[in-house]
Amino acid sequence: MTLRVLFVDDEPNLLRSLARMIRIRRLPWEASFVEGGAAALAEMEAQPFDVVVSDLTMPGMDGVTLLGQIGARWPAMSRLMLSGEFAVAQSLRATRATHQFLAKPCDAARLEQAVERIEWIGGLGLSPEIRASAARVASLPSVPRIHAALRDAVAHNADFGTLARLAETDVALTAKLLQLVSTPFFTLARDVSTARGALAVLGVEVVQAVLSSRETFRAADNAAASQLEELHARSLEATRRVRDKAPRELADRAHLAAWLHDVGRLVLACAPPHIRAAVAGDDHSETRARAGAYLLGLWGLPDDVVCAVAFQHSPDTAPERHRPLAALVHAATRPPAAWRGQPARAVAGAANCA
Amino acid sequence: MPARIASAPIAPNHRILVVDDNEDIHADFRRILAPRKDVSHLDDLERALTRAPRAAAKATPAETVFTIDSAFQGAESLEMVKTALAEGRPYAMAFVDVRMPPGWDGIETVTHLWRAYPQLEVVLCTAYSDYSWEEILERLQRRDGLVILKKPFENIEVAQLAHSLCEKWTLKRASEMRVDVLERAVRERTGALEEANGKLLAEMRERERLAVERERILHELRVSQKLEAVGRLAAGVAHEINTPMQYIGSAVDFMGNAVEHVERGMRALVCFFERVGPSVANDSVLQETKRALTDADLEFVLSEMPAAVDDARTGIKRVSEIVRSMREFSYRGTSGKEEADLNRPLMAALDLARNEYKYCADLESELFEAPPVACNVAEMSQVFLNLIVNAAHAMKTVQAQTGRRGQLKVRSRQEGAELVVDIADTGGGIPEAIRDRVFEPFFTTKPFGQGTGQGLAIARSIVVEKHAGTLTFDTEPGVGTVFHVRIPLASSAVEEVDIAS
Repeated sequence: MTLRVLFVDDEPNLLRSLARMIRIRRLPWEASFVEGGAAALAEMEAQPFDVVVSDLTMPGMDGVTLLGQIGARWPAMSRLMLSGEFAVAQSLRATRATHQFLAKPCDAARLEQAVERIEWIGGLGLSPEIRASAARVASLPSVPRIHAALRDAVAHNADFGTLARLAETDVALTAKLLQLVSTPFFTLARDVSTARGALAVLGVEVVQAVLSSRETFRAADNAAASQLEELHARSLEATRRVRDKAPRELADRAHLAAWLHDVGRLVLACAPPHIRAAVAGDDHSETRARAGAYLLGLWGLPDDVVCAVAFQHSPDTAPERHRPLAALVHAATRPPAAWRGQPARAVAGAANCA
Repeated sequence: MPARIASAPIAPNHRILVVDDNEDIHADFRRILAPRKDVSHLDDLERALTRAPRAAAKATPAETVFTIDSAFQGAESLEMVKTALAEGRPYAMAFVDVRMPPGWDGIETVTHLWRAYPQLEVVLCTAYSDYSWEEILERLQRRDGLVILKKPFENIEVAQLAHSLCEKWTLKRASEMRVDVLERAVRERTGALEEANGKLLAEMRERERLAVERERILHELRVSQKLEAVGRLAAGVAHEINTPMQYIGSAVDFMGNAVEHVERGMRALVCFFERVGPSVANDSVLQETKRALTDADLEFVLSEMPAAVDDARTGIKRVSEIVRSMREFSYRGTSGKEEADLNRPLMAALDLARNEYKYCADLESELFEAPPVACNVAEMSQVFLNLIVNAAHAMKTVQAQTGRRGQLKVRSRQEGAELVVDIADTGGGIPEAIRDRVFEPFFTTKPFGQGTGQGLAIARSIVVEKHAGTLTFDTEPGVGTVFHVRIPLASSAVEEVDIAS
């Protein structure tokens, strides 16, 4: 199916030039171009879209408002922001409505890559319901213990080291921080693949804002705490195992992929109960892995990490260039013999999903 | 102001030392020099009897009271002279016998006495047979302060010598003191002049220093104002610039692709014309078409279009990079500082820049367990990142030329009240001609398209303006460059400098 992409900007020149560029590159998209937020909503009511790429600053309805409304009404849509501004405050405000940021000027290759990644994760075989619930996630549930400690640390103006030590022990927060640094607002973020590195790039002020907002950082229900702790123990074990095996050039990415390999459980914990029930149990481990990869892809994490998470159970079927990383994660996450045969429990009961 | 010349009066000194091995001689001296108590007593009696006024009875000068001490050997006399001197009551004069067995003779004794107290007036009592006058003078090597009294002597000689020499001693001391006071006064005035002169010189030097310092601060201020203005401008116009840059970019991209389409179409048409043309068109149409095709210079246009499009793309990328990095200046001051270990941003930067240096250099780091400093971790990461990336590029260049792998040395240390981070490379060094300019915004030595020339300007801005530190470098062409980042340790000494408020 052809990907349907809606471009929104207040500048007709920009829309025309994008249209020409897409047309002559023969990008396999069904692209539409509209001036402003109101026109965008009208267009969406008229026909369905998979991806929206919106400007941030527009007269009338701005990009954040538009993407927020789209998220509420068409939750499965992937929401990208294409902006020429570099205001950290705006990017934080925009992050709850936006999956990925692109900086103007964005060349054709980058735009193509971003949209194709969305197309690619769309082809992971997930049901529209699961995709929609993943797209709806603004933040994943954090371990209550770590959440409380971090909130406390923020309240007491803790230093960088304390924040970093805590942040890097939480899977949900790691994923969120890496989504934030992958925005073009943070020019330093070239090769960040740890929560610590992300914190250093974001700076204490931004991190404090991230940690203070429920939209970016929230605790799981206490009922789910022990399961989450188990998940974290497994993820930590995976990073330990991958460290011994990964060649040097893959070490950072392998560490990140191993640490986030089970993020799909957190994504599904945010899904409605009937979906959660449908994908619980060992038979659905692949679906859970792909749900995690879907979210990471949507959030713009590195392609190889997304791929390794998606194909952690079947690295042989991964796209060839990402196969070594997927194989490493596969080897590091196979449960030890003692665990086999026991049904893995899904993280359930996180009813406060955003 | 004239220095006051103070002179305390010199008290008359009548202390006399008699040095002789003969007891009787001592008694003689005492008799001659002692106040004539018994005589005055007799006088009183006489006066009482005759009822004559005392002073008028004999017209003798007022009696001088001498203090007479006795020494029987030369060595003993030396001890007494030394003791008297130490107690602040030196002898004015000494009568010294020449022949004094078994110890020193008189001449040797005098030599010793003068060595201990050169001001001592000496009367050497001698019989001509002891030494010739010439011998005496030759042995003593001095004539001043020496009187030679030939034995046997008259009492009046002794008495007059005692009076004259004690007076001489007193006058000499008084004149010495005056000289001394004068000299001190001169010294004081000279000192005052020298001090004034020194102060003047110091003040001149201080003024010169202040002028240089002022010039430096003004320069810093101009640079930081420039940076700030650049930052504000960039923040304000980023959207305004980047939106047209987006559609210029998309249009250029379109044209780049369009050229290929046009070329394909043109070649098809030319091919068709060459194959089919001659058979269907008359000569004039053929000639006209050929001329038009030649005029259009199609081969050149089609071959140059891709290069032109690439140039345009590079330009677009560069403009957007510049806008972005200019914006970094206005970002300063919006985020706060914290007490943090400076090694953390350093580690973060090493982490982030690893891909830059790992292929061209080995890392050697020596990190000091430092007390926390007030710093913005994200900004300091950027400082270190910029310095490390520059170092890596310098070593990459050397590696490309010589194949030599470089060494990146990163060290943190404490120096006084500052924490210092040194980032050293084994690159080509910074040529002398551009050393003054490396911190200027928009200054770059990197090939077109590889740097915006903001890295060191941004680093400097963060270190100097935001952290009250310094950023300096030492460089040696062909050996390498070391950048030193210095951040003050005491947080109280660091004022928040908000340049982007």
